[in-house]
Amino acid sequence: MTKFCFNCILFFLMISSLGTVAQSVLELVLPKHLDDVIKLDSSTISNEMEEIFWDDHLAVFVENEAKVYTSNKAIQGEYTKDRNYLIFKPYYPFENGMNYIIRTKSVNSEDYSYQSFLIEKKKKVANAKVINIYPSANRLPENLLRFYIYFNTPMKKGEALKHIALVDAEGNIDQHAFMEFKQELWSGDGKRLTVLFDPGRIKRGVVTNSLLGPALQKDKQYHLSISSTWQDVYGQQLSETLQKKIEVVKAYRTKILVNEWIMEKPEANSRGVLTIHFDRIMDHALIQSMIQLKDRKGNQVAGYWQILEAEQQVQFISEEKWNKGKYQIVIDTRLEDVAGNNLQNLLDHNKTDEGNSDTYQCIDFKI
Amino acid sequence: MIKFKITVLALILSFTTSLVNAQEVKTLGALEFSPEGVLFAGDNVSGAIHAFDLSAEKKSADKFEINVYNVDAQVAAVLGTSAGNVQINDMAVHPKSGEVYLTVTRGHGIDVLPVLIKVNAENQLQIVDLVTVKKTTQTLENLPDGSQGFYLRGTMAPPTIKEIAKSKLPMRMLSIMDMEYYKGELFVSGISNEDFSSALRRMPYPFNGKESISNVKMYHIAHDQYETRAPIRSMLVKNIDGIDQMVAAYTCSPLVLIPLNEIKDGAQVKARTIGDMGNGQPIDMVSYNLQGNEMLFVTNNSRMPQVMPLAGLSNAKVVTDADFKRGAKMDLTGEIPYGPMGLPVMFAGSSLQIDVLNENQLVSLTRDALTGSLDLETVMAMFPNKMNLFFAELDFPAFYKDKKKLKEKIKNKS
Repeated sequence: MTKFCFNCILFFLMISSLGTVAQSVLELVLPKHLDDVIKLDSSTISNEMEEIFWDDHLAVFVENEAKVYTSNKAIQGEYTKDRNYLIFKPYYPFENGMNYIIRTKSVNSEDYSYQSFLIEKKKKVANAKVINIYPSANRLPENLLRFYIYFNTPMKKGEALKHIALVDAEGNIDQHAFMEFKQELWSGDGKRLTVLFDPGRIKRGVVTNSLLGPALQKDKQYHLSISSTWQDVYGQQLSETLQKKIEVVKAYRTKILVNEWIMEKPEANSRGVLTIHFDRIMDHALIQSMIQLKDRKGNQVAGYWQILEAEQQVQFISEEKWNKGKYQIVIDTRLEDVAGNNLQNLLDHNKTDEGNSDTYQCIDFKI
Repeated sequence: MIKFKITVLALILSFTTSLVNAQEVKTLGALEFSPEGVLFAGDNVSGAIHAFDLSAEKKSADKFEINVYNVDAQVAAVLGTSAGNVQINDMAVHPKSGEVYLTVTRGHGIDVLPVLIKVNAENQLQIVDLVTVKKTTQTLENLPDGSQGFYLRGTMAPPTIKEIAKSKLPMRMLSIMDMEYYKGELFVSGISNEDFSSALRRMPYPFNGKESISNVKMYHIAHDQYETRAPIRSMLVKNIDGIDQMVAAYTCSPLVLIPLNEIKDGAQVKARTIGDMGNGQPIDMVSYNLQGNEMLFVTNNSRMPQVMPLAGLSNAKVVTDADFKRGAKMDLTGEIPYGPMGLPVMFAGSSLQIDVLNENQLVSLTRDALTGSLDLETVMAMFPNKMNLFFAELDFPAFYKDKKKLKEKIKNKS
């Protein structure tokens, strides 16, 4: 104990002389898996600090029902120290569903801080697999902007491009086909990934486009490969490697032209469907939120949209019979086709082209 | 003591992998120290005995007691789990350091982990690193596989969950029941995969990969039959009638003698039944010195510990079925206890595991009868009952005033 106090004093003198006082709340790296270690930012713990004091700075307890842990015995394990962290590895792995408490103390403090953690029980999940890829069509334009890949389970993040590849007919992998982001584009539940083609390769007149050319070239065949090496967050690999065929057709080089959409109207007083045939393949995610149907009073019609024909068609299923009279389809002008062109402009429009500045575009019709 | 918490499937699964690498420590059960400080630990799942070399351990204090209350909860705390997730399987005192070792199973089902804990002279728990400790392993032959359970022995009512769970325990878990180290050899009681399953193995230590397996038959007084399957629960080697003999205790609770020279590979040994302590299940047996007499202290999960003078086993009458009238013997039918079985001694709670801590004291793993707590406690060898834990006349402060007055009265009169 005397040794400890002596060290304390030394350390206090040292930091006092620098005119700074280390913060009492230390950064902790908590375990996420049962056999993970616990790391404590050791910037305030002197390198000369003897090993016998390490467990005074970092100790882990099982939290019991009465939340009494100070009188409990600490979990036993191995302590090591590197330049940045004091590291505790328990002799026996942590357990799922057990509440643990970490007790920490910085050198210049007499007080302990407590932080609890829990490693959740793993839920039994179905085998990991890809359930959908959009666009669902195989014939896709040269300037395709993105794929949406849907999984049945949350996937491990940060490694998507290790498992996804664009492969040409000869089996060559295009290493630069997709945009690399520091943070991948995942939905909140971790089950939908958006994979963007490098826009530089798509946009005309951009350097990468000139040097490498477009990733997809008209009249050629490719496939998108999603490897079974990819694991979900529970460590399960995808049940199979999946390959989506792609036949490349002419690029979409015009704004979305609502006038070219073809509409099939239901009969009045019927429960028929309203069908819209698009002039091209639309973005799957955006169709769902950017097209609305309103009645003559401007109220939304109760019902839902159904996406058909590989995102080239939508149908509105009304919950009630159609009334005779006026209706209006309201389209958010940010609605995109699969190449990123919307109702306002082209993805690679000229800076001078201001395009359509309306927020909504409407189609009026009568039944 | 083995608890019936382990699922059958789980064990079958773990056995299939265990056979691949029997050197690996998978479970730790029965314990035995050699006088040099080699700790033998039975591993039923791997089907092996591991010998941990702890001979370098030294005495750190001249005299100390071991008292760790709620020891299962304390073990759980250092292992990062809850008390319900640990089972203490056996306990042994190191012959040199006098410190206590516990074998523990963490978890249930296929996730079980073996643990060896040292309780040192300061009553601190220390996990022994099974990776770095020097060890050798002897794999055992002819063990039951993991699939075979037990006959569901009924009561009059439909079987209870507890009875079903007991029947589902794989026989494999009874492979190694007790071990006795004697003069460079390790004797192992348990069961084999044969119908005549009660097995007594002997093997030299240091291990050389060889073992001899003999089967043991004995006359069971309380059951009135010759038995060949149920294993010896606990045993010690003693020199009785001029020869080295195994003193062995069975369930319900005969005591038998087996001359060591009859324990040979392939032999069907006929044990000499000399007594019966009465129905119940013996767990552990230790010999100790009580005022110059060597005594055996036999724990039991359903009776008080039995203390018997070793001298009584000399020239003991060996009994057979011819010595008794036919039929099972119950506690109230008058025939048992039979033979030189000494006396049951009062003990607060159930002493499960027992060992000698020092010349005057024993250390016991005790289940408290009232609270259910599992305690590691030191008791006096002469007077192991901890009677002071009960509320009695002697607990009232006024009792001592009266006593003092009485003493003065007597003094004044005289």
